Amino acid sequence: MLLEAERVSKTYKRDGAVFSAVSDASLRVGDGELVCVTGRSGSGKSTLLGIVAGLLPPTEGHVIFDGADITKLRDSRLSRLRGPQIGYIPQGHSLLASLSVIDNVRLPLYLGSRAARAGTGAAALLDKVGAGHLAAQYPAQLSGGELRRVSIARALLREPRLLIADEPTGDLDPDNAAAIFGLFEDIAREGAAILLVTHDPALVERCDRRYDMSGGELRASDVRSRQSGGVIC
Amino acid sequence: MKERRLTPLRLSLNSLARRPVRTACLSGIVALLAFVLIGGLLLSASLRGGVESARRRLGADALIVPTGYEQSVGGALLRGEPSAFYLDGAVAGELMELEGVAEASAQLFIASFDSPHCSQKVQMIGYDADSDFVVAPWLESAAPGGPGEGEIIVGSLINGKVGGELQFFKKYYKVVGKLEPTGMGFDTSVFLNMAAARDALREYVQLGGEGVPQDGEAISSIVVNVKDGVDVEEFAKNIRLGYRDSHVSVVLPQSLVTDASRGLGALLAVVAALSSLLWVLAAGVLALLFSLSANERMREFGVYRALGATRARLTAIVLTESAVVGLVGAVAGAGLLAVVFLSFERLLSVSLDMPYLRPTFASLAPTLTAVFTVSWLAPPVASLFSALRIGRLAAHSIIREGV
Repeated sequence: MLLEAERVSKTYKRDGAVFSAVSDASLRVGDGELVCVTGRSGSGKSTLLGIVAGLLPPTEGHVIFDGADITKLRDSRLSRLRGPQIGYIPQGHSLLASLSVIDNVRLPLYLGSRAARAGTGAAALLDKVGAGHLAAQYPAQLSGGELRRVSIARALLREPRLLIADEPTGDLDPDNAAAIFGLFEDIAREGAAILLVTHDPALVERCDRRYDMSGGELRASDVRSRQSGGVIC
Repeated sequence: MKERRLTPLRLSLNSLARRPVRTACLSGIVALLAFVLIGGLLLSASLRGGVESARRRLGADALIVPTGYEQSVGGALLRGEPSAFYLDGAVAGELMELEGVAEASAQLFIASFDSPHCSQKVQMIGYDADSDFVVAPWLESAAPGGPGEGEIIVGSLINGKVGGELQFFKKYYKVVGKLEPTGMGFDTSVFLNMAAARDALREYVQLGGEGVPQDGEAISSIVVNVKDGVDVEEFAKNIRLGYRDSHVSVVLPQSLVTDASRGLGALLAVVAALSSLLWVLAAGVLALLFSLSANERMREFGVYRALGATRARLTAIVLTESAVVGLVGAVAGAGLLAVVFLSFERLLSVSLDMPYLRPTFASLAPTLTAVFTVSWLAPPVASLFSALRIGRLAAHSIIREGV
């Protein structure tokens, strides 16, 4: 199993009281799997994604990525691992307004170590997500669907083994949402593991597995097998 | 498409260019800081240089002058305010022979006319090359043998070149030497031997100059060194009392310097206090602006984090950005200061009413570099807290749901 979260919890202090964002959650994602997490706003989905992406340390529990417990790694080592192996697409627009589209896509190459600057060409990735013609544009000139495509291209730049996307189709119309989701299916078909948050029932149906989150608690839900043959739990 | 390396510097420049108003405000604060700090340093060094120069040049124990002209001699020597005052010739001769006098020499001051026909009003100083022990050695270094008949040695700010000629009253004088800057009245003075000075004084009277005694032997002041063991204060007191009816007074040059030093000390204290206050204020305002900016841009830094940036890399990006702001501001401030300072230095030195001698930039280079660096580094220091906070919190900003 590429990613295993074991009984992770995350608590915050809010106005002096302890608030539990994620409580005793466990999940697994294998290579080539497309796994979705659903749940109401504020249920803890994004926090869970942040924990499994190595962006937030859990208060309790462990996250095992490719056999290594990333909750025990120091920031520099964790970033070295996360940069090339875990692609993360944040919720909402996340392109830097001061950079062109092509520079936004290339950005991850310059945030890690020099040795890690190998990867698929940015222009080729933009072509792959259908945004090749936007390379010289700036984010302010792009539509919501185009912004999302560029974000996906950026997350794929270093050919990650795990791609995490937080509501990647949240503000898109059904056609754009379906097209973007199609991209994720293609990526999963090529072998990458995908973990995403979505509210769209039509898209949830196309996932290999589904988790529901409510009040910080995660529950495995109905499971189906994609034609490509994902792991069945 | 040409690929550019997205180094922290490049990212910083892009970010700064995208927010020109914010960048201009931040750099403007640093420019003001650099202007004041470097300006304060130059001013302090120049005033210190002036006082030190005065201490070296006023190498006599006492100056005997007419009563009522004690301030004038200070103005003429320290600040270049042309003055003309005269002692009775007979009394002067008697004073030079007083008990306790080790060496004495007469000087004759003539102020050129302040008229539209004259390019500048200057102080002419006639001295006796044989007996003078104050300016003669110094003049000797500028023109060996001193000025002869029809010759003059000019101060550094007099508009004349060695070998050229300058007209005073009715006569042209050949410039045989030009003195190094002193920061004192000597810079706007012209030196000539006593015989030539007396001729000039006669022409001065013929052209309408007033207040000159008719005895033909007028002198303006006597520079005196007292014998070892003679108390110069007591010596001065005795002259003031003994020659009260002859309208003779005594100025102690070192007290002139001491007064100037006292004034300088007060001024430098104000400059230092203002500079320190400004640094603290600037650092506080910069820290506040960086903190506000950090809050506003937290999600942007969260994106960096999500894309694999370490906390240290985020901190480096923030500090690079603030260092660029600091560099732009410090260069702008230093540049503006250079323009203002070099354009108005003379006016400044006159309005300060104190001896003023700017050391060479080469001699000031280490201190200037240090002060420039203090200005440059103010933004990185002010942004350090924000940078560390960004490193700690940026990831949370990208995780927050509903953003």
